[in-house]
Amino acid sequence: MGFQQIIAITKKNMQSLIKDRRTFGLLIFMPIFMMLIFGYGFGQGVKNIPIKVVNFDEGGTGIPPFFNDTYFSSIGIESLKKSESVRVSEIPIANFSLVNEKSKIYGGNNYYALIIFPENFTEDMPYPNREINLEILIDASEVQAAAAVQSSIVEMLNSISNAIGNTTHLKLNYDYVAGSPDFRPIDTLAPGILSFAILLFMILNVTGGFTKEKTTGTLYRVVAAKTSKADILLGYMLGNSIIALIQSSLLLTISVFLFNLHIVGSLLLLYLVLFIYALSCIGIGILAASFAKTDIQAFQFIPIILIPFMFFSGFIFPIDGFPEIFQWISVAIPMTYSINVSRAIMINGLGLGDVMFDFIMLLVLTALFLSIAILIFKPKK
Amino acid sequence: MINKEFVINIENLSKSFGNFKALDNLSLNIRKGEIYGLIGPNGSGKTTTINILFGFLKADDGSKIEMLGHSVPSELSNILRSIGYVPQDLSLYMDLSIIQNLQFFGKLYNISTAFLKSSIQEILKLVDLLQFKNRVLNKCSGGMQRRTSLAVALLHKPKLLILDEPTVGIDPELRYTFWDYFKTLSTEQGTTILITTHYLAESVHCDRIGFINKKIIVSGEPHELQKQIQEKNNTKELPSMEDVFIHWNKQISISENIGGIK
Repeated sequence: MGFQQIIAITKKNMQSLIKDRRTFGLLIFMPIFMMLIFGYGFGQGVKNIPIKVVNFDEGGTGIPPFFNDTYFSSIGIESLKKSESVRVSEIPIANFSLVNEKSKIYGGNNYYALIIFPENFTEDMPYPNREINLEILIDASEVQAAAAVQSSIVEMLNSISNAIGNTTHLKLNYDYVAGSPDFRPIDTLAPGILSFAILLFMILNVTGGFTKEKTTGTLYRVVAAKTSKADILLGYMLGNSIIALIQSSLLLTISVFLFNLHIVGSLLLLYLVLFIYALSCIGIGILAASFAKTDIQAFQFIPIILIPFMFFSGFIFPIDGFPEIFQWISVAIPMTYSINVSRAIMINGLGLGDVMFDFIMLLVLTALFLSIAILIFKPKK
Repeated sequence: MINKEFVINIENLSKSFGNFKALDNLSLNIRKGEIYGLIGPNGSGKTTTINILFGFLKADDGSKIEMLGHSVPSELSNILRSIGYVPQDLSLYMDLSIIQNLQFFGKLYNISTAFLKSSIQEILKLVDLLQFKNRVLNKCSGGMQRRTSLAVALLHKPKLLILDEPTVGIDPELRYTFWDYFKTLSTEQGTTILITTHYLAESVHCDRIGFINKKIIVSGEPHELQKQIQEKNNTKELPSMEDVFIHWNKQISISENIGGIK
């Protein structure tokens, strides 16, 4: 062991680290970024899941010890509003249409649950022998969000019980608009795993491959053969997107046979969505490669892309509990939409018409990232 | 006016990187069928010149370049497929076999399948790689890799062949073989060849050479240049190319008060 040698190596590493400003920046920025993400993602449980209530409660006739102005529904709604798990908004009765609202209950799009307070909610509350039906329309396909909704309902029941000094005899009628009560985390995760696997492969293969073309010089030889920029990019897109679909088929096969995943919707539609999504990842991969001069710089892009995609796309947990700034990032991530659409297709058997917004956003972002990649990519030295 | 006499005609080519001038009013011309050697030390602007010829770098304003009767870079796409390019780095796919590399680049040059097949056969014979054609490149020796690099540039039978230090890092025997290839191409097929090298001794293989140090210091037939210095110094023996280069480089150092070769 040589002390001088150890110090020399340490010093050399420090010197090159300080010279490489990008790595140095990453060193400072990455841990902070990750702590924020994990803190908000895991630290506080799932929060702020959007739900709606509509209140048909007509009040009570005033049986002591309760008075005319007592509305048990208000106590319930107050409790929901206080709950950290959900974020409640109230629909005025005049604007309420069940069909219309039901179509909006799809987590990625609008909100996760609708709670309907019936007319007799207050009137019949003091009489244990009278039936009160609380209708709860819920999207249970996102397991964590559904659990958050259910825990807020339990809190609500407790506060109503406290108010009447007795356990409530409410009948909770769950209507599963999406998913089912026996949904497992894997059912929620599977569509996201497909998107994540595609991203991972594309970033490694496209960013790595493209950077290699630059560093070994093959790119310039290709350009010297009068190969256009568009041809190069299309060539990369075609081969890699086919690989993405083969990869998806493997993952789907494993999840169906090993984890008993139920795929309700059209496989063809799912492949179409994944194909488009793969193209967006290729665009991002080429974009990253355009900013990388060396293999090491290309590698550094991997966590910078992977981590936000993983956490802000709703892949692992719903992003509703994150601060607004992170929610804005999620808007610009193609994976957010590919997950929403593939969840809709795989779990709920929906068509593109039902998730048109997400599908269009996926198309827009794909076109955007590919255009930026084509603009930025310059086969020059 | 485009000058049809020259395959390459460069006038007042300058290139700056920030404050650093890599090329300073370089002018040179190359006639059809000629082997022209651009000779100079590392950092003298050889590769920069070639990068500009292929449009990988943009020349400073005021530079004028013509290749094969077309203005560069504006009309570059008209002539790219008539030019063969051997870059300084191997620039090959090391995980593919020799023949796979040739097939890939052949297709990029839009060569028909039938013609490509016979062209590959012919070129592999020329560079002596026929028996190794299925070997993956990273299992090949450095010399074989270099020969593959040359073969790729010849597939489409270019009228003009531009080679950036093709003989760097290869053994003297293969270097001679390479110069044999170049002579064959030039005399038998009329290929015009622009080649850069920092091996001064190689200049004797060229029809004409230009000593470059940010600009062309002097150019002419190698033997003429040697005789010129011989007469000047009044010596019995013909000076070596190195002596010729040092002589001219000194002149420019004195006149411009810049550092010469190290």
